[in-house]
Amino acid sequence: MHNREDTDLINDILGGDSRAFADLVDKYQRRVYNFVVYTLRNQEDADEVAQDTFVKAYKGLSTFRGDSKFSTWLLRIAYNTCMTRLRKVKPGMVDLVASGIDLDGGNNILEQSDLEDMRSVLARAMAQLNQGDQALVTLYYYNEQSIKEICEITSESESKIKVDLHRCRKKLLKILNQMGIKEWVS
Amino acid sequence: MKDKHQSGPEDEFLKGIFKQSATEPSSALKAQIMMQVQSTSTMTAYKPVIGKKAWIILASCFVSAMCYFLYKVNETTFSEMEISLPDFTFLTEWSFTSQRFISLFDFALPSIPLSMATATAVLVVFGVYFMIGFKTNLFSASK
Repeated sequence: MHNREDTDLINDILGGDSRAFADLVDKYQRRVYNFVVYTLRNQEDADEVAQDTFVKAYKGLSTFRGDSKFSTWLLRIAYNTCMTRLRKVKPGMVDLVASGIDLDGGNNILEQSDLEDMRSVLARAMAQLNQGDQALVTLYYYNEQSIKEICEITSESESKIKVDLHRCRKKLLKILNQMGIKEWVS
Repeated sequence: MKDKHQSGPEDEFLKGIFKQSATEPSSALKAQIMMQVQSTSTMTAYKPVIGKKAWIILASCFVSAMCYFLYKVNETTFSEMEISLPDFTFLTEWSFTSQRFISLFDFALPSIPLSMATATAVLVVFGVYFMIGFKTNLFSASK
């Protein structure tokens, strides 16, 4: 199911060419890294977890059967690594979110902001979700994984994922609305 | 890959925010990953300890030996078989201890009748264990 290029690279790696793994890292590091950053909201941990994810993937590559896309398999490893990290390090690790959130401020932040502000707005909104939900919305909105793929990654049922996503979307939009971003918000 | 349950402008809006807010990982990330991968690079292509040819030869030898065994030793007993133990008699003159040691080997095998049915049952059990071992990669190099 995964594309041919991935298959070739995987075969090369399994054949003993560890340098072929560099190409896989190039291809997926942005997706994995941002998933981890959005889920953990901590730069240092994100670097470490992204690194762990790729090393685990390398070590377990022979167990990849190709039933799903390689990206889904890789995100599953990243998801499990994040959840393990979150269980070890409980809340208090939020350093991407600025303090002093004013959810009732009615100013349209986008009018006075650039990309950095956009990141800050999203980080603040994400901080209002629990960590499992952060992973879920990141998989859906950033990594653009389908519901079925998210089920594979999180080992949750389809109905639960749908319900959780619906709830998270409503909550995110409400928070963004409260922060002054009214576009698309009904 | 779109899911039916939701794909409105709100989703597009949220996707847009997520995409725009994405950051580039540091260039050191890849270097660190590759460094770890190189240091743990014990991954080699799977090669079984015993190759296919060797297995075929072994299996043929085993089957031939069994056929010969079943043909020749039909309806006999273990005690009638010739089992040659090492000859330690040259030690007998040495000492009493050595004689005691040799006496350990002075035993008779029980008289168990070995019929065709028994031999077949033994073969079947052995075959089943062999198959289980093969299925569970007992003979593979990765173990």
